[in-house]
Amino acid sequence: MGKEEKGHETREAFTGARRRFVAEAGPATLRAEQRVKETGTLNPLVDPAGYGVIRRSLPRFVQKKNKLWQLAVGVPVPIETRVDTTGSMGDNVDIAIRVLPTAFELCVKMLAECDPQVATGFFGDVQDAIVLCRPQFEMDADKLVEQLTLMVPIRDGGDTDEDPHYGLFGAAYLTAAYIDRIGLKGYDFTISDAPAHDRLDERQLRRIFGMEVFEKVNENGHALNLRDLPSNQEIVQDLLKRAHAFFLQVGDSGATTAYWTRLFGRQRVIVLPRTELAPQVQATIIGLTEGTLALADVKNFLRENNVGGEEAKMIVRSVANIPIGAQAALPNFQKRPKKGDLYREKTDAWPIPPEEAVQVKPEGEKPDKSTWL
Amino acid sequence: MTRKVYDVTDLGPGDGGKGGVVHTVATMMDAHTIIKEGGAQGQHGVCTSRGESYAFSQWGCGTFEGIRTHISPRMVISPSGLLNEGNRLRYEHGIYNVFDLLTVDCRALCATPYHGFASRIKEMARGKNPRGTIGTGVGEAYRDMQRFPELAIRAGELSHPNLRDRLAAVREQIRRDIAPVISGEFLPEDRACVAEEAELLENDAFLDHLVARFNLVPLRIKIVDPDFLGREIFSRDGVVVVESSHGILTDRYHGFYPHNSAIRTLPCFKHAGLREAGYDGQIVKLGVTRAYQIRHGAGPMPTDDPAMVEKLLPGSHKCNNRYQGEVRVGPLDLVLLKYAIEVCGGPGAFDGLAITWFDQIQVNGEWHLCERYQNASDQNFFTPDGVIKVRRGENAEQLQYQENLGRQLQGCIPEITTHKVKSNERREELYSLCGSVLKDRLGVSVRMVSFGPTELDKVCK
Repeated sequence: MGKEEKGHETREAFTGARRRFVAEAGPATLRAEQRVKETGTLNPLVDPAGYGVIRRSLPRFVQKKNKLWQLAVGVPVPIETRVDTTGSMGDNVDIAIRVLPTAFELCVKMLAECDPQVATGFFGDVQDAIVLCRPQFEMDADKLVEQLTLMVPIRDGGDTDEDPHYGLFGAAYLTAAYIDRIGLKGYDFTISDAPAHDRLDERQLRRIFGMEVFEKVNENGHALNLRDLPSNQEIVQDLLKRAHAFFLQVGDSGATTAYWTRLFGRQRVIVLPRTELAPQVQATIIGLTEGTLALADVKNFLRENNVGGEEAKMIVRSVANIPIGAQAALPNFQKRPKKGDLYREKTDAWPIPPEEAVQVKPEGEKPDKSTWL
Repeated sequence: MTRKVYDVTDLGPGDGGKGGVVHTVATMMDAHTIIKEGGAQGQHGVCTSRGESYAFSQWGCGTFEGIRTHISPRMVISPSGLLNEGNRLRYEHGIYNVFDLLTVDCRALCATPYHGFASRIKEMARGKNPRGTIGTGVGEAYRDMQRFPELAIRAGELSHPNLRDRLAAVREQIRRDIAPVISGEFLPEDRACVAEEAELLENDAFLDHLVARFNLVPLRIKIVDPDFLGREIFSRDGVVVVESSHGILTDRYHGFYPHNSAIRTLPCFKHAGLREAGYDGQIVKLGVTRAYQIRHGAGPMPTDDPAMVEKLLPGSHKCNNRYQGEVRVGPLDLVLLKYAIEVCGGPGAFDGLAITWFDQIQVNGEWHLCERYQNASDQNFFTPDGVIKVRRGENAEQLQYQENLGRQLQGCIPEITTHKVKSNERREELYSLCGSVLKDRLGVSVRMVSFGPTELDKVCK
């Protein structure tokens, strides 16, 4: 129920999840906002410090009778998005819930044979009670919707410089994704209408990600110098090593474009006419990067997916210069594991060759089970 | 049809190393299901040869291998704990289908956070004279279920429309119970914590939060009817493992009151549950003990030796905490082990023993054993040979007897014998030493010795 044969959630599953988790009246996040007012804490599912701090995107395995582990869906592809909820962007969580089925459906379409794992979070300012909501990577409709309802949008504040760089920090240094281990990359999107402050503060990092943030960064394989924390530019450069990362700009502020272009480069700052169109723009970028959508087909794709003519033109112009085919050009792209591949251990990076799949795993020092008790 | 059930029983007061034993048996025997018994407060540590590590509470110790868990009606569950643990396993350990791997019998009793508050506040009220509790409220929930059956909340009722009223009624009863306790004296260091927990008892927003959390459980986890065990689990081919919390020395009527559990921990109760579910196949009974004595929290422990803590606990996940108190260790107490075995029906009640943490003995080069006590002369409690007598009963007199027995034990002085263990000795030889010593003293064969954390470090014969 609610899942396609490939293991992906259907639109009906999202509708059901929305019915279960979203109240009919008021903002979807009402209960979470009340909780933060009362306790000052986020639900650990979306608290950047929750559940071990590091966000993981891992393969979905089932163990077979021969003790090998079978990939149930396909290569997990993490898609992390952080959306501005300050000032005029305060309704973005409700918008994200509304467009979630479309977002997921389009991702699945562009990531053929893969397992899209989505984490859509929100950011505010360091002066706010909540600076960042960072959920877990998910592929299950119920859990995706539930996590969105646990977010706490800021709503207040102006549209001046924001603090999205703490979210970028998490994405760069506190993400553990299987796809990195096989030499491919996931996707990362920052959505805002404003520039960012330019300095990480150690105390804020501990406040947002917990007191053990630097130990966790270290555990995740990164070495940071506490006395010389990375600049936004360095964070983005590190993020680009593990993700196809983009800034999606809402509005047409020249200062905003200039700021993010300095960080990401012109080819990675993309026009987003309205937050509601994030799924279509993200899917376009993913499709072009994966090679599952040709540039010539973008306009039709957008029009087919309810994007107006003028907005479609803006998007087409904006995505024309992204690194098209960047994922497909990576050396291991053609060797990507597929649904049904068998792994000797679930911690292995690569499946075993099919001819070895018939062999049973070595038993180590285990006794003959037919004679033990 | 399921052809064999392995029942793993801790022969001490808990912390015997059940996690690694259950994981090894389940992996080695390709178990299809682990049945959980006892309470949600357990922490069963598992380290796999792949490098995974976790202390399981409500999921079985075969979860890393994709083995299903069924929570029996004799388990006291924590609904909030189920959500937290499932999320940890899903998000920190990548078990994406972890909620699909669990079924809960609809009759399982639920411990609420209110029971936890009651447990912790009562323990704090004891000041410097603790009873020893984990403080999760499992025991409180069980005792309250016996006193006020109408207040008990079962797993099958978590989505019931009147859940808020039910939880409010539980809260009200607990408020009444602990009102005289709260007005009493507390240690200065506990006062803030007592105030915080007392405030949550009054907080309606917290009650609403709990209702929302409890309602979420049936959306995540399959709550099943009483016939499920026989119909869906025992009808499957292969092997089942029964994993229980607690140990024999904390059994309600054979532990040392008041340092005991509210629930029964003897294998006979588990076996009766299996038979009730229609299972009539073989039950392999495995007793577990560390190679040294351990007790986390208050209660009689004649071989307690503070000087051995540094030698015996490095690398263990055990640590002191406010409610459970100190972790104590000492030489392996064969007198208590014999008592535990006798309580379960004698050496014939077990098909084998699993001895854990022998690697620590090897590191230390000496294996200390207590074979008898001095001062064990009161023939109401000990035989002329110094063996602890087992009294049977399930009433207040039995609890009084067990309390007195506990006092007797606290006055006993252990006589220690020491076996030299070479650090370079092969596992085969160490296994033989362990097996021959314990078979001779206890009358039960050793069938597994653990020389390290993972399943590959367990030698089974």
